[in-house]
Amino acid sequence: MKTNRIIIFLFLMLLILLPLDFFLIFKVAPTERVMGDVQRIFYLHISLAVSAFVALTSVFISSILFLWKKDLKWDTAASVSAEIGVLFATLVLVSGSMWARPIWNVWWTWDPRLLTVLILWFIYIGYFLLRGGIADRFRKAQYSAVIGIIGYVDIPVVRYATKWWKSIHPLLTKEGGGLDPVMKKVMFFSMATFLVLTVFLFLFRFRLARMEERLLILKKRMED
Amino acid sequence: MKFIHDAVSILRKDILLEIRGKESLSLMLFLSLLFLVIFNFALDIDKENVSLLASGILWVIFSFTGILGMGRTSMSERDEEAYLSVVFSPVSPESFYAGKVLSNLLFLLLMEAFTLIFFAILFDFEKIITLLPQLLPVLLLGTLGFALVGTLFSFLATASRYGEVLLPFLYLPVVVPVILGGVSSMDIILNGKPGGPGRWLQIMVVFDMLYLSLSLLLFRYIIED
Amino acid sequence: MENWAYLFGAYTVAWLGVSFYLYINAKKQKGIEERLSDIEDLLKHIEHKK
Repeated sequence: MKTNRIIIFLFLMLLILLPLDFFLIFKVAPTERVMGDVQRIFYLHISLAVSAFVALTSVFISSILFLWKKDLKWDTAASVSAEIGVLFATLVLVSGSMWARPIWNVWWTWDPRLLTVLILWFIYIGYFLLRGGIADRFRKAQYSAVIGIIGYVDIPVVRYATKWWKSIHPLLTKEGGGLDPVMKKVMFFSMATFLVLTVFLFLFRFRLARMEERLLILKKRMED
Repeated sequence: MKFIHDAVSILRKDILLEIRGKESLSLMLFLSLLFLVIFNFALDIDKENVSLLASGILWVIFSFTGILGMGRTSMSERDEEAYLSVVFSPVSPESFYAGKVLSNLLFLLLMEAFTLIFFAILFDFEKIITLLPQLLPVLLLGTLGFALVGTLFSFLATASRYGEVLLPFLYLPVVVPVILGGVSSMDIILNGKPGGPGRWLQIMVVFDMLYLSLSLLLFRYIIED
Repeated sequence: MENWAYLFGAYTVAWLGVSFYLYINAKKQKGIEERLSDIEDLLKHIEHKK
């Protein structure tokens, strides 16, 4: 089992990377002058956002591959990626909210970026609702692939529209200035760590989903 | 040529069914009237604020009533498995989709016209009728976006165990740019806000073209399984 | 520094979320592995009898 080895390898790597990442975030990265320590949420928030985006891109690509190759393993890959994407997007919203409270004094603001994440979160919740409602395995794969493609293409349009919408209203948020070089390095390290985590979660969950499918097939054979 | 011919024959079929009493349009009209009454209670609309509230109220009504209407038309196709006859007929899935989009577009526009007239009457807001030439492109582009996404998704949703109930969950997040564009440009036109609706119309054109091409590519997978 | 609570909260929620996800899936995996080996044994048994 080659994937087993990779999963174990990634897990061991995470055991080193995650504590190191914590150490860098809390001890090495300098404290931001204006926002103070709360700014350290940023390393988590951005890394989660990047990972969520990678996961959803994987949904998109797997969905296309499924419609093209008609191989159910691509559908499994798409649904597993969507699961991880939704998990990370949820955490992006939560950590963003935890950041907004002390900095902007609100839990939520209708900022274009937040709004885009929220909308895509809804789209992929719909994706799972649709999957839950269709019994036929192949039809489920086919239909959810359509959502996987449409939903992903919608993201840039939503992003652009919400940005234009906000540009008319007064802006509450201002982009932070340039990051300090040490901060930048910590940020990159954090992103890389989270990407490893994403790949690990994906492989782990993918193997489980394949096992589930094998179990179903065996059960059918038993009934015959 | 055959493509257009087939699409138009699907459209004609739907119009005939509507006339013979499928009642999807009348359902939408009653619902939109009901919405107007409820909004009147909810927002306490008067002469002062009507102009500011109008675009928001109207697009909420358009989106929700539209979902109901589109869900119903595709439900009737599913119920009688009428769409199966399409699979076995020489009509291509693409022209079937185009025909359904046209019929949904037509019914939605009729519903919107009705809603606008009643809005003007109930809230004493004639301005919305006199400004209609300017509002027309907004309505056309927005409704086309609704019809493109709604037709595709209503066939997806009605295949699931949850049926039409699932449709808003899939449909509303995806049409957010259209709703945003519709509300904002209508608001700009009604209240003479600076900037004009130009950019919003552009966004809606891009949305419509994007979803037209995507749907034509993907609809095949929803019909053939 | 009351802001410290938010910083701590954000990281805690993130780690709880990911750990919980891993936990339920690991549990699921254990169950499936057991059932798989049961069924495979049974199948082998049946084929052997034949």
